[in-house]
Amino acid sequence: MSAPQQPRAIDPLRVLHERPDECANVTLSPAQVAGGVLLVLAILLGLLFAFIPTLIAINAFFIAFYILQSVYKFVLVSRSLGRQAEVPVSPEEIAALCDDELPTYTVLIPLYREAAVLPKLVRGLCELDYPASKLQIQLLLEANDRETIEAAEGMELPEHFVKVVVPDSYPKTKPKACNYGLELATSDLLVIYDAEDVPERDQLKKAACAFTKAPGNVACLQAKLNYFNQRQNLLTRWFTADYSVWFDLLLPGLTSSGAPVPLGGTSNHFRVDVLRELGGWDPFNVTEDCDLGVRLHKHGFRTLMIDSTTWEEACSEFWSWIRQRSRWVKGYIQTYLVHMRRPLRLVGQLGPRGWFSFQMTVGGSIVCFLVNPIYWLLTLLWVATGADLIKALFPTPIYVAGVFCLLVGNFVFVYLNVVGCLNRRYYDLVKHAVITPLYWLMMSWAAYKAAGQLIVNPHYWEKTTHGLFKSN
Amino acid sequence: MDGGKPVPRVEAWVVFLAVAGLCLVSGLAALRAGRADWDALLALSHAFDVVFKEPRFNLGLMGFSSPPLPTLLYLPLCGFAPSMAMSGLACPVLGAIVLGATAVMLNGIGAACGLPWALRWPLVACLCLHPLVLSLAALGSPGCILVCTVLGAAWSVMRWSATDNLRYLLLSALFLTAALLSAYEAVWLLLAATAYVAWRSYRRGEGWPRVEGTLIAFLLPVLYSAGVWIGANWAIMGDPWHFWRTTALSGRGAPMPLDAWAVSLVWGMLLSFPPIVGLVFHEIRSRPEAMRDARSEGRPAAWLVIGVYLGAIASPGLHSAAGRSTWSAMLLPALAAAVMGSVLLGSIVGQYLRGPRSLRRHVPVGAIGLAVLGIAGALWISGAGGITLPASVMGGLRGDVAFAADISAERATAAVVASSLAAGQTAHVVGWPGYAVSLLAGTPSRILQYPSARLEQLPLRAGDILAIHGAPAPDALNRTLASRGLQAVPLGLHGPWMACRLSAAPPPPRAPR
Repeated sequence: MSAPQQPRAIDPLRVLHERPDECANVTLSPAQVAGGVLLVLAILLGLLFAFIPTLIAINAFFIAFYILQSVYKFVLVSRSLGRQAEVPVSPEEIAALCDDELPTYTVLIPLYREAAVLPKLVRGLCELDYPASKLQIQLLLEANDRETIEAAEGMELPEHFVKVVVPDSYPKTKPKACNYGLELATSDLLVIYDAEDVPERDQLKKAACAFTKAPGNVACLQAKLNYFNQRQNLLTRWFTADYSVWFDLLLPGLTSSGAPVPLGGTSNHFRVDVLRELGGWDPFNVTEDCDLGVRLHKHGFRTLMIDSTTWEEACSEFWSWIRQRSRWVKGYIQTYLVHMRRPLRLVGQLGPRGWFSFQMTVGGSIVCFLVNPIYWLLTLLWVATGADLIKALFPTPIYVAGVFCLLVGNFVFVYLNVVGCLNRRYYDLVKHAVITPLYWLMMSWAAYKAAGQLIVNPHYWEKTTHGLFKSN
Repeated sequence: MDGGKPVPRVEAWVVFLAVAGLCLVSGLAALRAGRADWDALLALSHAFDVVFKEPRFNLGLMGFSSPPLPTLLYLPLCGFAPSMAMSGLACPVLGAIVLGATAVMLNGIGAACGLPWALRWPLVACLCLHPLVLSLAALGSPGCILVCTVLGAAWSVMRWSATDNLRYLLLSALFLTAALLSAYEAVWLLLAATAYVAWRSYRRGEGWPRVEGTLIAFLLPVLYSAGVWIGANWAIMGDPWHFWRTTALSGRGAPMPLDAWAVSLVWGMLLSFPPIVGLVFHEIRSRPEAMRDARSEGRPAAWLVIGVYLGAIASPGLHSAAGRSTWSAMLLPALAAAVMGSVLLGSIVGQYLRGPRSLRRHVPVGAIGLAVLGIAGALWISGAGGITLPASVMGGLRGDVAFAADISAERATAAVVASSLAAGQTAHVVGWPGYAVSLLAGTPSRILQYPSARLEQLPLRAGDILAIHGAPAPDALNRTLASRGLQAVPLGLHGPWMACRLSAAPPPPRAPR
């Protein structure tokens, strides 16, 4: 085990310094502020002089968006069900790999207040099927987290483990710690795992093999994430259904259609040279993974999936879940705003299809979570009162589209959860997936919390509590 | 399977245009001869009402007795080309589109089975030019949508059975949902498919949780659709089971004796797809190591056909389409035999052609023999004066289609109503099928329909037009109207319909002092 390293000449804010237009240190660019003000003014003027037509126009926009998103997600899922979207790597190919020919690998483990799970984490990492001589495992410790640092120092760690103490500076985020790790990485490939992650043993070898088979512009391989405590309670069941749809159906659909992929939080395997070229992660973005996935695509690199699962712990407590989800939504909003600073240039960088996909996956998630409660309320009000004002908002074409959204769109989203569970062979979770509309309520709650926090504390990292499953 | 190459886009378009074109020619000829299908006209008139009856688009007018999918499919045609709806042309147009899509699907299935074009095109022709299928499509009947959805469902269930690919399970669920929303009779197909899916899931291991999860995924679309439909019936008609009471129960008038059923069903099966007897025999006798895939696909096909037949026997009242003839009871089973027999034939021949050389020597002599016997039997039945197909292929192409009703009287009455209706006046159409008169007159917002009603209860006014089915004697009509201070001035008598204008009755003569 090497001694703790405290890098001095490392710049963890390279994205800010080298690519300021891709950094979320500022939430809105001046042009976005101006555009937003103009939009709000236009809406206010519209409401003043043409109240109902303005509301109808807004209504039409959101309903059209809903329809597009429902259809797009359905197409993505049917695409991923129809063919193998992952890079195919057989067990025989893995068995035939020669240790000497394997690339060197760095595993980054950002740790903050994770002293309790450290022993289990180290045991799990030691079981990875990869030659130690080719492996560098970095435990990224925060300078102000004395408890975890002391726990790490008190353990006898193998030689290929490295402790990196990240200085206490603003912003206090996971991507900043990862940037330190990236600068110290001495390998060809790199992957991030969270403290509670349990990757499949052969995942590194599978990724290494997949990189040799993938086209040259593939810079990232995303493994699938799922939960080992999926049956702990109703919340973890819903969360599992959600993850099963995202990682097993939607992301493979995105990769197979060549669209930008909002990466999952962990188990992203990168080519180190490409990651360094892009300046690493944006330390100001609280979903740095999603942002990096889009950034890779903008710069001509591609992401593919590998058929390997990393098992994580699902949040089993409501408030903890709300905190985690609100961070994710906040990060998605940051990512959307950063890349939409120059929307037309983004069309050129992502291509029209990629741009559309970005609007649907990143923008769509935000819009749906925020707007859903408004439509639920409108529906309830209409059923209860039959108010003429609500009728007036739905002239015939919008009414037809709205009925389609209500009856078909909502069903599509519920059914995707059912399919996700079935696809993962979580047969007993299927019945719980049927009632996911209740889960959507929680998502909207988290989204509004995220929107508020984006204004008052945009770079605050809501820490997810791990180890709840064990304590139960 | 999926061993064949996908169909080139050009070929798919050629197949679509050829089949849809033939169907349209047949439908136009039938329409010109004043022939139409009541179910198709009903769905079309409901769609027309939804768009034009009220100032606002109102889905509450889509009718809640007949299944909703045909009406929903007619909506775009009514919205974008109202004249097409008013002339009845929308019926053959929709039928042609649906039959074209069916042909493309069957051609794709044939290609996926590995059949060369020389085999799959005749297969497509056999199904799409079959008088039963062509007649339904030429008239735009809900039955042609049923054929299309049953084909998709049968193929998907068979592929799921052979591959365990989730995609096919979901497709079959969606197709069966569409089938049920096209014709309530498809409930028997759904039940048979559900039983098969449950059995197959159980056989694949992992016990009850797997059966439960698979069944929920399989049934969710259909249960959701049924739930929405029941809710809509409840909200609009005040009775959640309105659709059921007005279809299944009303059709229980004259159940056929069981022996007559058995005979007509066997005949129907032979006439609709003679080789199916041979194919079922083939499935029963084929060795697992020889044609495992064909077996795993054939089993669900046979299961579904048998399920439909048993369902038809159990509930003859549900099969009330096609003019209550012998064919009305046999229609769904016959269509099921035709559709699934086609898919099964494609699957088995494809397996045979793509199998190893040693396998090709294993000629299914018995199956071919039985198929030939079946065809001979069908020909004999047709020639021996027993039950025959209700139309011929060439007759169908000339517009002499089966299951058609003569709408000349409704068309003429509609013309009288449309030409006599002045601004501010209302037309009252009393009797079945008044919806056809209303549709063909083209002014639904000014026409009130009453399937059956007592004239004394209607909101009649002087100047209104009254079209009444059953053509009552003028004296009797005037006696009834006199109590309302009205009298009828005849405008025309067309078949069972009488049209008249209402005017104020002269005051009764004063009694002499």
